[in-house]
Amino acid sequence: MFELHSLARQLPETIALTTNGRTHAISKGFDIRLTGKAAPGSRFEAAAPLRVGATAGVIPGAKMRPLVRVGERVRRGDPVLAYRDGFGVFVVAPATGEVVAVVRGADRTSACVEIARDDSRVEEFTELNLAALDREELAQQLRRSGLWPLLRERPVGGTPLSGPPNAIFINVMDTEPLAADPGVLLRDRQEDFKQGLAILRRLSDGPLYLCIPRSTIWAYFDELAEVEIHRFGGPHPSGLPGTHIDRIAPLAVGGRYWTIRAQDVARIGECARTHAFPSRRWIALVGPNARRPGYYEIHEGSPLRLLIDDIDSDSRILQGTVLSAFASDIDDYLATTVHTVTIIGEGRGQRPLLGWARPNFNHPSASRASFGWLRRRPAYPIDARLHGESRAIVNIGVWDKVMPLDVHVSSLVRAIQAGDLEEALALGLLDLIEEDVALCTYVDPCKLDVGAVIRRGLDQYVREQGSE
Amino acid sequence: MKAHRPLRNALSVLLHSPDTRAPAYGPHVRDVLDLKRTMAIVLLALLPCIVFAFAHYGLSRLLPLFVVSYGVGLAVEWLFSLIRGTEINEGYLVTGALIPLIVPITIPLWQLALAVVFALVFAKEAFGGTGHNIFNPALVCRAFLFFAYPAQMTGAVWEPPSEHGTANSNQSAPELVYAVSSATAASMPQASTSDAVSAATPLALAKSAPSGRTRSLLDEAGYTTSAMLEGRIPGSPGERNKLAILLGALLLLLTGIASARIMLAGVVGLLLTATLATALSANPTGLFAVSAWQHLLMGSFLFGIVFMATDPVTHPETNAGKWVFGFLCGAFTIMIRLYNPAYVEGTMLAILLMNAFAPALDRAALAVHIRQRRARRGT
Repeated sequence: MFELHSLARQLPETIALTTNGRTHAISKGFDIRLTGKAAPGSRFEAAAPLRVGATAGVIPGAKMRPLVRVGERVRRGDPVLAYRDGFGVFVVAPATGEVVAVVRGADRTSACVEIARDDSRVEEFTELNLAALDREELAQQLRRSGLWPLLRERPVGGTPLSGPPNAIFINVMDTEPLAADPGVLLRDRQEDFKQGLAILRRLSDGPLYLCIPRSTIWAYFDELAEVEIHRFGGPHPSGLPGTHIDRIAPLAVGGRYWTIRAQDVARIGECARTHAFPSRRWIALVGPNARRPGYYEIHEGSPLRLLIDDIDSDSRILQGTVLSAFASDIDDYLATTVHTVTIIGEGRGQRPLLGWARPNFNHPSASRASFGWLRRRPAYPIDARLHGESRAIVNIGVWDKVMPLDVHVSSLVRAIQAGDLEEALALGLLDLIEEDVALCTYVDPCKLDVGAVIRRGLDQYVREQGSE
Repeated sequence: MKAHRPLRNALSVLLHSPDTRAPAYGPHVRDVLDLKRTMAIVLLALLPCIVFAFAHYGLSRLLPLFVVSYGVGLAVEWLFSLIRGTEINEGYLVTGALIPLIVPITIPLWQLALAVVFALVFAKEAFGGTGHNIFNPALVCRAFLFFAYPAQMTGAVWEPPSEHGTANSNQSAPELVYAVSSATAASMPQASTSDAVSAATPLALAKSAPSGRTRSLLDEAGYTTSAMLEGRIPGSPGERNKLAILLGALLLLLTGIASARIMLAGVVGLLLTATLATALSANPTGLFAVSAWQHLLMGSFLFGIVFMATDPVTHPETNAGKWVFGFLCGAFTIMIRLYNPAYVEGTMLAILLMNAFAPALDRAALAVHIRQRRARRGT
């Protein structure tokens, strides 16, 4: 059905398959090549968990309210967390059992409901029906099904909590470092993917855009008539929805887009087919500090301990990729929205002599100043060290080299820091979320968290919208 | 706050890498480039100029300038870090090396110290420290000396005894005109050894040359093109050897630390304006008679455009702004050199002027950018 990128490169004539959309080449950006990649052919199975956690991860602007108390029994598919802003969006229990703990999320931590799983062979679950023909009813069913947090809304980047969008962008690419390849995650799930697409088609009047890698032969996708297929090539962030939106249909004032990953579309399709919350899925365990990187089939909401047998004391577990993830404990649970678990070193106590003066041949550097370009490698190890201290902004032009969008990031950051929201909006605040500027944070010599500044600006925007 | 803590932290971070790690939310990895490495590369780029300066003037003459510059500068930075309760930034590593290279070798040390304090306090710390200043602190230091102690800053430049035993300047040129009165010029300190001479810089010599005599005057004084390239001319310690400056420029461009746009625009601006000025003047005398390429080699323009104008804090951030900034640096240098009867060298003033306009250039470029964004989105 589909082939890997390396094979496609040997057959250049197959690259020009028919696409009803366009091919876009992104020239600005940087691919961080790290060790610990998951081999596409690897298939591991994680053990069945004793306890699961119902958690949607860290989503901007999502405040959740628990619906159950310790000791209650829940079935797979029962709502256990509700979005406080209403709209009927729930996070559901991934397995049947008894609630043992309710962890309220605060600020940047996620709310989680821990459930002790029933061991019975015959599992009870709540039926979910996604067959409604009416758009409103279908949307309501999907919100109740626990799969709604898989959608993200642009601008601002939170969960959609308002009306239908102007367009939906489906991302079949992931160019973040060591990210799980959507092609591998979609193995043998084409029917579910088609079904999921059909459901999304009914949720919006606007176009559906499918964004796929330029060099891949996705013959399957040429059969889909109701979507516009666009190809993207180039370094990261060519695989981010923000870049896709900027190139295909820039967001107009007052417009709204939804973005979703292709593997999550397949999960919606599976839910429609089985009438139940899908309980098992494939994720990737990656990273320089992962003992056995690869693709794992794992129960939804498993504790990370099942995935990671043993771990260095000096390691950091990330739910997500190194550029956009939240750090987790080994006893935390896998969030619904996470497809990649990365393990990197903390880098504690490593203070080489005159570290700033040494040529760094062992680090993926986007700058020529570290002289790493003299001895390039295919992949590098990495840890969580800042390699510097936080300083005032000194703009040596590195941000512009990794920002393919039509946004002047340094001026935007200054406008947000000065509190000038109008200027920030004019400069393109609403085109960005944290992941779009993650590379700017990576290359910044002054170690500023650009994503945090953007989030502050977006929070201010949301506050002012709400107060109008 | 304990007084020694900022010093201890600064030393500890200088000798080892800092023990800082990414927070738990947001990108968890960072590139290996930080501000110290950026400064280190600029210092490496300055190394050819510094080596040449030490080779030419000797350790005993140049080292006190470096000691005063770094010592006084770091003391000021330390004082402000105590007042503010922050760490000592590494911003002064480069400024401290630039200052001894752009002041005359005979500057009294107390004047240098005063100028460093003035430049750091009023042109850097008053705005908030590293990364917040509008003007280049090294240039402000030199400007302070230029306006407060003009006698030491203008006029003939002291030259050490040459190895060949012959005087390498022509002091008998009768038409030498200085920006100060001759009485003050006569009271300037003379060299202690009999072989040392005071000489006019090529710019000063050319500016006062009568019509038609510019080229011959320069040749008589030994200021040929190769002499100007190799630094066998009077001038401040750092800005003489153009080949050393070009080596430094190459390193800065190779590593991507300094803006190529500004350097290129500056050179183009200088050459264009000089050619235009010469073409427009009816009877070219003095500096008008000097060709555009010679303007590049004379004076401190090359040093200024490579090391001063490319200071990332004081130049525009937008690409369009950088082109205009660089071009006008070159253009104003020529205009001050040619059209201003009092000042012989215009680089310092031109760059300081453009520093003041850098935010305005950015605003203009951003206004155009915002309009383009609106047009593209149809709002």
